[in-house]
Amino acid sequence: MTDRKPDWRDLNAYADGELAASEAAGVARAVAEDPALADQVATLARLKATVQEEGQAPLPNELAEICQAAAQPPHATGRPGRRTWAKLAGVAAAVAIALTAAALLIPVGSETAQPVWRDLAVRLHQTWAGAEPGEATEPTADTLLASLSHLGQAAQVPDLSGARLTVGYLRPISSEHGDGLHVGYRGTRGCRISLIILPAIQGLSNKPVALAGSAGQQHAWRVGGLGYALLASGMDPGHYAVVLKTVHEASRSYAPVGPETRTALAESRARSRPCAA
Amino acid sequence: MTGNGGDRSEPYLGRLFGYAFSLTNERDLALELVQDCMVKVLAAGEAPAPEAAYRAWLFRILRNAAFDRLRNGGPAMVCLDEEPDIADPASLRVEESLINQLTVRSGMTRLSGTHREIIALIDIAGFSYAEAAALLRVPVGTVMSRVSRARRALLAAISEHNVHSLARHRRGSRA
Repeated sequence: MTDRKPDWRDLNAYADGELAASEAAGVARAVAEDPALADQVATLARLKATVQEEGQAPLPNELAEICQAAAQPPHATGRPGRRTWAKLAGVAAAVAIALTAAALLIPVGSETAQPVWRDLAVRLHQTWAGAEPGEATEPTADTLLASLSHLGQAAQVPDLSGARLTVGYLRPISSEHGDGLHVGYRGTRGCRISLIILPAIQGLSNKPVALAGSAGQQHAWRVGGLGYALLASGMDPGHYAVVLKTVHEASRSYAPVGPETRTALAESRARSRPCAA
Repeated sequence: MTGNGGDRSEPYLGRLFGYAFSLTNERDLALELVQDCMVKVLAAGEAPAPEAAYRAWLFRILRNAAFDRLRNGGPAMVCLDEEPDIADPASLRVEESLINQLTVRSGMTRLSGTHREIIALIDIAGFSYAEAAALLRVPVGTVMSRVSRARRALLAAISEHNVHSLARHRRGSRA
């Protein structure tokens, strides 16, 4: 290239600082002697600088959610501890924002399906709640992400570690109602709570309603095209109410559990009695 | 590989979004791609330690996510094969004053996917030709050619846009 006039390709590489020193010197000499080449290099420099400025434009507001979720440090043990779950919940929330509109368009099942839907939720909870501690599969972050992605809709799995409830069980559900997710929270005082997420059916309200024919600690509600069911056994009623409120609000807002709610969960736990066997 | 990739991603989110936009030409799709990318980054657990390798890793994940969506019949995304011929750059006389963020943004939307992608990788993401070549799995010479053709196309788009706008403006003034 040193013996010929630089072409457009050379000028671009020159503007990008991609030429070897000797080649760059050759282009610089040619540019100094040829006003037309100098114009082209100036145009390229301006174009490159403008594209770079464009790339530094303020982030869309939605990306702030991802920033916050990604910036949290990992759990020291590498296992899915509170911060990791909070982080995943944050990412899930960010994903949820983009998918909410689509979820609202998903058709729901027939009203007659409600008993079947309820029975499925109850059966899943009983299986998880009755399992020996060692039987439960410890979920990983990968499992949660894979399960959320298989749902095909935005779902929220809230961080309940403020109440010392951590995710101890996670299993995708494949049912006649569609694919879903069963999240089992385990407490330190014998509590086991199920959060079951399935495609919604008719009859579910936006507000938590006790599952028909069930004992007191089984509620369900809908958010968009998804139905959520929260089930507990032998939990202090006051504490259950606080957990239910937290999960319901998180599912509707698609937002991570905030510090005030964490405090409320911790205070509620402190006031409550351990779960009955 | 070391550390969690999500913790270090924040400085790159803007550039990832710019790159995603270059692949989709659509804001909401680009946001979804960045979200897909971050979910995969967090799920990966470990990330390359050297910063340059980490950056390349992030962008590769995003690119793969884009092609996953394409394969799965997701919303229409850019075709990365088209690379139309553009006029000789010597014939392009674009006043420097016409090159601004507005005209560049508008011009970028009229480029082929291949052209947008290479400009995003070099000028927005800040990759070297060698890094971009590794990401795209093409020779460095191909990157060099793509960059020059893409910028030529962008200048042509800016030039056309401004000529048309001016003509319309003048016609409107007479009316």
